[in-house]
Amino acid sequence: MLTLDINGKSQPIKATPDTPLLYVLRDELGLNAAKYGCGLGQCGACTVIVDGAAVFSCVTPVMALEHRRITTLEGLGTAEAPGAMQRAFIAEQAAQCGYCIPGMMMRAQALLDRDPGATDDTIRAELEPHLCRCGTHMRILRAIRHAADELQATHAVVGAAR
Amino acid sequence: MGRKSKTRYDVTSVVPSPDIIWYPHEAIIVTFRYLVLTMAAAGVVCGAAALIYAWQPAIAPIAPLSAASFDPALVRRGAELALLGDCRTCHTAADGATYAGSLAMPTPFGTIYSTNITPDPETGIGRWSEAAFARALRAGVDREGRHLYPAFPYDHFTLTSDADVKALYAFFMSRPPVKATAPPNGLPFPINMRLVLAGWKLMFLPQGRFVPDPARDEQWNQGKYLVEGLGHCGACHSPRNLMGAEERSRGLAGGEAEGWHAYALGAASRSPVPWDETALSDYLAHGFHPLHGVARGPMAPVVENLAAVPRGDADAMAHYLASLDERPLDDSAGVSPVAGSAKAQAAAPARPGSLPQSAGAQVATPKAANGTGAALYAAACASCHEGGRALPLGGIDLSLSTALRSQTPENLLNVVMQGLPAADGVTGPVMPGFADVLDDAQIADLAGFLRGRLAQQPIWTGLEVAIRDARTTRKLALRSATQNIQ
Repeated sequence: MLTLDINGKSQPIKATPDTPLLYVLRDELGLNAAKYGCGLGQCGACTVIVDGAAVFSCVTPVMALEHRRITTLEGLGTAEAPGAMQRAFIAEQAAQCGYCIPGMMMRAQALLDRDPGATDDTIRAELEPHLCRCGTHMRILRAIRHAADELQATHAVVGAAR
Repeated sequence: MGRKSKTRYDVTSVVPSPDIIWYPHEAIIVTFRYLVLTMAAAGVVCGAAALIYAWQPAIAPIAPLSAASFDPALVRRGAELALLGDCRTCHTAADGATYAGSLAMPTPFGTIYSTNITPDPETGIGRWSEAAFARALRAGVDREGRHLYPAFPYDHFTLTSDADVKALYAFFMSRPPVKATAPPNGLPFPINMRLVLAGWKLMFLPQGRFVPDPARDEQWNQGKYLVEGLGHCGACHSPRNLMGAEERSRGLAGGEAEGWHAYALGAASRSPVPWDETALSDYLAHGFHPLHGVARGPMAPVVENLAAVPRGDADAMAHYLASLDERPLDDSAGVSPVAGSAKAQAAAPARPGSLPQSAGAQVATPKAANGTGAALYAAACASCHEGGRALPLGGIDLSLSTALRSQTPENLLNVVMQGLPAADGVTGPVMPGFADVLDDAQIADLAGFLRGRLAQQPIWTGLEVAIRDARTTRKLALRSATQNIQ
C-alpha cells in the first residue's frame, strides 16, 4: 500500500498507484478543495503544491509522489483560521463562482514561498496556466498582491524583532 | 604545418661554405635561425596582408531618413522578409523593444548580444545608407567597417537579392527608433578581436547572390532562395565544425540550438512518417502537423513568424524542402520500418481508447519495458496521447514522434519537462510540463519506456546527464518566459 505525505500527515492510500492524485484527494481523503476542471492539465483548477512547486494533480499519478511533500488548499488554513492567502482572497472578494480559485491560490502560494518579493509582472506570468471563466482576474491579481504585501510586512516585523 | 617546415628547412637545403668545418649541430642552429627569421618575415608579410584584407572602410553616415519617405508597398514586403528572416527573434530582448537588440545569445565561444536595428541615429542604424545595410547583411561588416560575428547569419543572408535588401532596408528604416545599446559581448581573447573574423569569413563565407537553377521551376527556386538565404534554416539544422561554421557538405543534416536538437531535414530525417510537401507546408504555416507533431523550442518563434507571411512563401519553402527527399514513400532505406504502419494507422480514423499499433513485426523487440516507465506512461501520458483525438486537441500518437527516434533525447526531455505552453493568439497543441511532478529517475524510466517500446530503439546512452541538462534548459526557458510578459 502506498503512503503519501499530505499537509504534513502521513496517509495510507488504498487507490491503485496509477490513480491521479486529484481522485485520491477528493474521493478517498475527502479533501475537496482541489477541483476537477479539464482533467488534462490545461485549466489549473486541480493545482496543489508538491515539494514547493505547483503541479496539476489531475495528471499526476500517485505512484510518482511517494516520499514527496504534498500541500493542498486545506493545508493553508481552515474556514475558522484562514491562512494569509485565503484571508487576502476573502478581503478582495476575488471569487465569483470560485471553481478556479483553489488552484490559483496554490500556485500563488508556491510563488510567494519561493519569491516573497514577487512583482506584479511575475505574478501575472506565473498565473498564466490558470483559466477563470467568470473574469475576476483583476481581483485575483489584487488578492495575490494583498497576500504578498501582508507576508512581506510579517517578514519585516519578524526580522526587526529578532 | 610542422612536417612542411621540416622538409623546407632541412639540413640538406642549407649549403655549408667549403672553408668551414661543418658540424651537424651547427646546421641545426643555422637552420633554426633561418626558420625563425623566415617565419618572422612571413609573419610580418602575412600579418600586413591580413590587415589589408581584413580592413574594411567605414561607409559615410547619412542624415536620418523620414519613415514616410518609403513606399508603403516596399515596407510591407520588407516586413514579410523580416519575418522570413526571423530578424525580430534575435534582435529583440525578452523584456526589450522590438528590434532594439540586447538579446543574450550563448554560443560555445561566449555570449554575444544582438544589436539595435531600429533607425535610432546614435544607437541603432539610423545613419546607415542602403549600401551600408546591404554590406552588413551580405558581408557581415557594419557601417563603421567592423566585422560582425557570424551569430548574425550573413553566411545565409549573403544570398539576398538587391530587391529584397531594398525592401528590408525600407522596413527597418521606417520602424520607430529606439535608444538602446547592447551590453558588451562576453568573448575571450582572441575571438574578441574582430579582425579574426576576416579569416573566418575567408574560410566559411561564400559570398554571392542566389543563382536560380534553370532546370527547376520558379517555386522551387524561390523555396531554395528562402531556405538557404533569409530563412537561414541551416543555422540550426546543419551541424557546425569546431570553428562554429556550418558544415556545408552536411547541410541540413541536423544541428543544435539552445538545448534542443534541430532535426535533419530531407533524406536524413528520422520522422517515422516521411515528410511530404503538403505536410511541410502545413507545419510551417500552422506550427504543428498531426503526423509529425509540434514546433517547439527555438522553432516556435520561426513558425510564429511564418504564420504571418503570405502562404506562398511557406509553400515554396515546403516545395523545395520536399525535393530534398525525393525517394518514393515506400522506399524503406533509411526510413524506420514502422513508418508504413504508422502512416496507415494515422490515416485510419482513431478510436477513442485504441492502442497505437507501433510494434512493427519485422523489428526486433528491445529488452522488456521498464515497469515504472510503462506505468507512468499509462497513468500520466496515455489519456491524451492515446485519447483518439488528433492534434491540436489531442496529443500525438507517440509512435509517430520524431523525438523518440532522434539520436539524442533532449527534445523528448524538454517537452516532458516543459510541456507545450499555450501560445498567445495561436491555435495549437497544449501540454502540461512534468518537471515538478517527476524526479530524474522517473523521467529516465519514462524516456526509456517510450524509446524502447514506442520507437523500438535502444535506450539512449548518457540519459542521466541529458536529464540534468534538460532541467537547466527549462530554467532558462522559464526565466525568458517571465521576462517576456514584463
